[in-house]
Amino acid sequence: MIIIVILSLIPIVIWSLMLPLSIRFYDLTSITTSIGQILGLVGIVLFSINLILAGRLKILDKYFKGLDKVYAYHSQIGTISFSMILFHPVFLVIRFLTISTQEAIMFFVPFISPSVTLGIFSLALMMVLISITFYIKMKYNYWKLSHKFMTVAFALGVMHVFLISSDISRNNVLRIYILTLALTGLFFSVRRAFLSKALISKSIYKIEKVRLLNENITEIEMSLVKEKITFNAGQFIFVSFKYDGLGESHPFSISSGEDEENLKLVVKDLGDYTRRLKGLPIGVKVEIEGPFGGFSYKNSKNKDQIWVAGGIGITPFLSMAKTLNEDYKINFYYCVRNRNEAALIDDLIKIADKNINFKVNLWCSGEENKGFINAEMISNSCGGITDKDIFLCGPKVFMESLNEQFISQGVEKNKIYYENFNFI
Amino acid sequence: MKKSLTASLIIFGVFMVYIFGAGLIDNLVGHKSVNSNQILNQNIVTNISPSLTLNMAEISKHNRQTDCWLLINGKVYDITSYFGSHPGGSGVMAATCGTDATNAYMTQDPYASSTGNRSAHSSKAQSLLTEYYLGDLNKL
Repeated sequence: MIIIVILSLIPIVIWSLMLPLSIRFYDLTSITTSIGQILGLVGIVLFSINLILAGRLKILDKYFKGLDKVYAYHSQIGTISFSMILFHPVFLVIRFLTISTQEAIMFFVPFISPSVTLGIFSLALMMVLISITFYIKMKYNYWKLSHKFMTVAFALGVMHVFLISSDISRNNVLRIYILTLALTGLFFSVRRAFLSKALISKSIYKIEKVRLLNENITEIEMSLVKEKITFNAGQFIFVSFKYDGLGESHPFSISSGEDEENLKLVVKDLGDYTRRLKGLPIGVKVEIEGPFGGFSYKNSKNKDQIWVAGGIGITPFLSMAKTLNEDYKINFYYCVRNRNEAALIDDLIKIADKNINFKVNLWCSGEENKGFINAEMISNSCGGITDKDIFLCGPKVFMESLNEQFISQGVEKNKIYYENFNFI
Repeated sequence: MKKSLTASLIIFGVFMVYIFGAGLIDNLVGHKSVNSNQILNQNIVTNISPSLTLNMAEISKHNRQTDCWLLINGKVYDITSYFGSHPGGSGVMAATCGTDATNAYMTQDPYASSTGNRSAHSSKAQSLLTEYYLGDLNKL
């Protein structure tokens, strides 16, 4: 995070060294022009960084302790950089507005100057794509396809940056700096969005078994064909099934243990795509990229832990429970609406029978008017929470609420680990 | 995040509507302000008394943003009315008012002092500049 801030401050420093600030901030028009320039510079830097963040890189996964956190930053930085780029022309046009509105309109009319035209088209495309991302609910694969075109909008923007006569064209250092960042961003996003088949190596597995655990939860078991996935229990993978329109890659937590020979996923029906996974025939090829994620009980030095799963958030814990040895003392809370939803409770009870230090508590919020689980109940039932590390995985509201409660009960923030499994 | 994004988009939208709306109204009213620069410029040119000699002493009197003359390649320009339109900001031009700005103009650097790679103004800028031409140095 600090690196991102530094990277975006560097161009401002170069820019401010190019001319005395008294000239940059001389009067209203020069101040607004300067702000417009800064917005443009920082906007393009943040956009470049954001494309790198979206590159699904192992090194970022490691550095941010989980790709889900990387994507959370991606969404924030994307919004900030878009807003900056949006207001870049607004501040630049003010100096024309002081002359006449006609002059100002000319500034926004395309096809007058090629470099400005590129900027206008880039911004217009970004506005359309951002609106799709934030305001229109659409199927995941359509959304993903539309989001890929951000790369195109960015490429137009980069051409605008380097064709227009500006401080970037006047200063070599600034030009090389921006060019390096922009091309790096472009490289990773083109690699990810358009050339992932050719450039990114993937493991191949095939479907071994598809087991219905209840009416809307399915376990998919896969056996190795090429390049075994070696993972830490709790991590997730991107999976693409080579079968009838299910080829779009989706993230899933691994639910098998580290030592199991086959790879298992547990999938809940949440939409068209997941509903169709039930019908996967045996033998279908599966392309897997990963593993990713920093959500693992092994990342915590404290071996006295509380695990809390909400609904299908059970999947990473399942893998962790299967891998666990008796050195760890785990109080596990599995929260569901009713017993029927707790499709995996039998597996967990089997593990608990063998491991005396693994305690399973099933919490059905919809039965006996129990209501949602809260931090106080957890604390009371496991003998205090402040000496333990806490792992959360479940729906966003579920995790946010519990996270807040734990902190207000005196648990340190860095002792709470969480996984945003539905991060995109 | 979504809220701040929405706010940004709304502000942007209002701004664009304002600019285009105001421009449209200007047009309907028939107020043609596109040539305001030239009109101002012509006024100034005609106001110069014929007996005035355009020498450095005279140029250096016009050293403020509200009255800004400068010398570029032996030609004198009154760029007062151009303030506010300069893509590089008003500040850089203000620094050169009343002086020989040839170097500043050729290098796009008001002090012509930097070691960085600086380039001359575009041909578009050159043609703009002619609109503000007053006369040649030491003539008129």
